[in-house]
Amino acid sequence: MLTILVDGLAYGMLLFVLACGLSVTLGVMNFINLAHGAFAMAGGYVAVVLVNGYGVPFLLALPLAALAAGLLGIALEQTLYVHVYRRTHLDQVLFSIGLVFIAMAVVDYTQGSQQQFLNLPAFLKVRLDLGVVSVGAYRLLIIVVCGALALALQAILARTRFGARLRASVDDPIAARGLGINVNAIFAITFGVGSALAGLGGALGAEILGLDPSFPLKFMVYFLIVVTAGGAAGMTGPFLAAILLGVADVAGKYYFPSIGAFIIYTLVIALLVWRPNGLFAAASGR
Amino acid sequence: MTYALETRLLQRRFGGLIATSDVSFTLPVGGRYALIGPNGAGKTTLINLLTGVLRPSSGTILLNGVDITARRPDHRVAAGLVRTFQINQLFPKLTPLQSVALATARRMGLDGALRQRLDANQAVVQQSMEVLERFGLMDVMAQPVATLAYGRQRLLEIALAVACGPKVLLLDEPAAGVPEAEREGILTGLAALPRDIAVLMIEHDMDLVFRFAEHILVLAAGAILTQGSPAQISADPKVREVYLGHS
Amino acid sequence: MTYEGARQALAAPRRWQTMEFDFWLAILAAYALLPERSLLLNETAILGLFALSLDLVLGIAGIVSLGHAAFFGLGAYTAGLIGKLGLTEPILGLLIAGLAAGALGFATSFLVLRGSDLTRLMVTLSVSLVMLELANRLTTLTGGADGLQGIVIGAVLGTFEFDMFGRVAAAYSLIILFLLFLLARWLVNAPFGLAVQAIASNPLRSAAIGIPITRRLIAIYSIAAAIAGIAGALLAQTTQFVSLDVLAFHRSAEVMLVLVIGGTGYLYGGLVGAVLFKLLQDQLSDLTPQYWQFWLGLIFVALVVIGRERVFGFPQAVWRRIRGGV
Ligand SMILES: Nc1ncnc2c1ncn2[C@@H]1O[C@H](COP(=O)(O)OP(=O)(O)OP(=O)(O)O)[C@@H](O)[C@H]1O
Ligand SMILES: [Mg+2]
Repeated sequence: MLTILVDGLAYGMLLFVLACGLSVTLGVMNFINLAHGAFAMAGGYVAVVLVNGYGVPFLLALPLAALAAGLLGIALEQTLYVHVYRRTHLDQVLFSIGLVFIAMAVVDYTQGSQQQFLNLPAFLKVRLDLGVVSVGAYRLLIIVVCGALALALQAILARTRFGARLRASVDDPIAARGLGINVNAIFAITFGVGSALAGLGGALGAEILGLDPSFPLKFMVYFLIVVTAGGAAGMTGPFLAAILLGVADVAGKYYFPSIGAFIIYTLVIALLVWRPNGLFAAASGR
Repeated sequence: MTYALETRLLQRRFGGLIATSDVSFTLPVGGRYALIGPNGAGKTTLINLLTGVLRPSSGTILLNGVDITARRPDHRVAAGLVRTFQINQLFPKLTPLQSVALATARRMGLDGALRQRLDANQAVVQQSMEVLERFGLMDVMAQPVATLAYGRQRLLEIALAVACGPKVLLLDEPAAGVPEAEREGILTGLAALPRDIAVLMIEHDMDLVFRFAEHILVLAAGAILTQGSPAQISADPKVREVYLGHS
Repeated sequence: MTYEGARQALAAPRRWQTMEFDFWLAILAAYALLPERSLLLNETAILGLFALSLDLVLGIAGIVSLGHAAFFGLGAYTAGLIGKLGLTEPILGLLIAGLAAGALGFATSFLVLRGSDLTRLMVTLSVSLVMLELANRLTTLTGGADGLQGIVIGAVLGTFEFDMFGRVAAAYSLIILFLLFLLARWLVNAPFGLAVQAIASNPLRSAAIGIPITRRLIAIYSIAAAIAGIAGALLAQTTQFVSLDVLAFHRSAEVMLVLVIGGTGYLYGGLVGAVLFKLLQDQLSDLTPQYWQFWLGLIFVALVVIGRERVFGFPQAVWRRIRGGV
């Protein structure tokens, strides 16, 4: 029972790190980026190639994977995404599905369609006994890294000048422009950081999530759930949503293996019907 | 006596802001009323409450003596409570004729019809043309609305509401953005309305207000500050104060 | 303008244009002159019907759906199953499949109509994923990953047996496509269709002139779902096989591309798109499936980055000119 909770927690935190970049994209530019998972996949594959192929230590491969995904994100943002921000939602959907298809085809072509397994270092394969519950070192690492990242993000958003500008841009991009904030630059940086975090998440979670070319599609719904359920305002909503989703998914698959997947989708539908603006969004509107 | 429209202690909060504060007023059948007030006074919010776009935090709305506070927006329209918008809300790809014909068909309960064709329905065509004629839109009735000049679109904004067959017509700044010279067309179109229709017009153009209205309500900070005949209002020092205080 | 002028202007969109006759004549000619391409023609007709259904949802009603395959797939499995259970009359199969898909559309329309584009995307996507998962799990019914086999389909109207060259199949699918196209055209040109287009264009104003938005959208969504279901049923009947593929995400994405290639909102877009798409796929068919997905993605991206209006604006402008109105 506790083990499931811990597993769910690790999974949820991972989902948060994977999806938090998307929540900003959606909040700042009102852009529906279905291709967010492609950056996570990129990070995952970079890590696999580095660790399995070149013997790079896992802990070093993580930042490298994040860097690669971040650079890829900035490059695509500057070349392609900038043209699409102001388009209709239909165009955004078509565009980002296109990117997903391309990413899947490229990975399939270069890496093959089978699932990739990352050679974890020995010290991550042990189980640690924490008195009440025993936890795999790998999951503990995930919880620690993702927890630290979440705190750092929250601090950056709440404390720094950049954070203040980002929040202003999320609240009201037009007014922020009027105040002389360079919303485009803020967005490019955020997009890069969001992609890097996704890449890191993909690398860190390669073992739990299962890495194969269909990754961006498989997790598209999960990411969308995190951001829509969490609402685009702030990091707390998406964080809580991610944890809930992680625990619900792990528990669902454990206790009701035959209908596990339904639970999530049914939850999503119920949730969106109940609170179309997100679980933690301020109750407003009519 | 029952009024065409009546509100009792209508209130609406947005978080901490009270946008509509205990508004009670009556609009008699066939009344020609104006609602004035500085920017942000809550005029549009009041219309949104009346038409069901927003729900009131508390209070009651009566249409011809019937409580409609909980009714759906489309039911209120069917009951004769129709509005226009401060910012044009039109159908850019349809033509004025199609738009007005749709509103007319809706009034006749034909907007969900499958076997009918609007062009084959004499009443729909005839009445659509009458409305377009009244607002001087005959020459552009077959062009896409998006291609119309702003002034013409503004007239269509009103024409669409009139086509719904209102008993109570709420106009949100009909002259907003319309050049001085073209404002006459709005009054002409409204002057031809049947006398039993009650009109509540929000407007910043005082000239238009004084020529149109027989009774004026003044809204400030969400509450009704005062009301009276045009002469009373123009002489009221409180009214000057809220206007001057804001601009 | 006179009364007659106004009447004519209102009637303009529903008048048949020469170009429309030409389009259907060209299809008839393709069927008559290219018997060896009957299988391709059959697939094209089915894809075109599926895209027509999406056009009612996306182009006419303005609802962005990422899960339209749910209805296509349900129609396919329904038709396949009743064929397997011994109800082999194809037309009856189509009707039942259409009813089943329409019922699913009706049930899920209440979810879809709430909220923003984003929530609509997620709900449509989730519904289709639930359907896929169901089909995957209910192996006794659907055959799971092996697909539904042993479907028996009788002769159409008891007379026309399906042949292995697809002559009867293509004719059957094309006729159903034509009939359902007529139905869609009739719906869109009715006051009902005008109301739905008004809702798509400006829901706020539509409500303000008294149109019951939810009711109209539920109706069009359910009808479109039924048509998608019939498209799926056609596929099941003419290939006598149904696999999980009918519910897959890429099918929802593909049909979106098909529609967008042909242009949304004028009903021929899905058909034109299906022709272009199938020709393209046919040309690139020697490539591996992965390659195909790559090209597909590239088309998506290029289309949007260059601008759909710029790529397809010209032919559509010509069409609108000829058609006049709307
Ligand atoms: N949906 C909303 N959420 C929060 N605040 C709102 C909302 N709608 C209006 N307000 C606030 O309510 C107040 C009244 O707004 P309203 O639009 O009714 O003013 P108005 O009298 O129509 O002004 P104007 O003359 O500029 O049109 C304003 O302070 C506005 O910011
Ligand atoms: Mg206003």
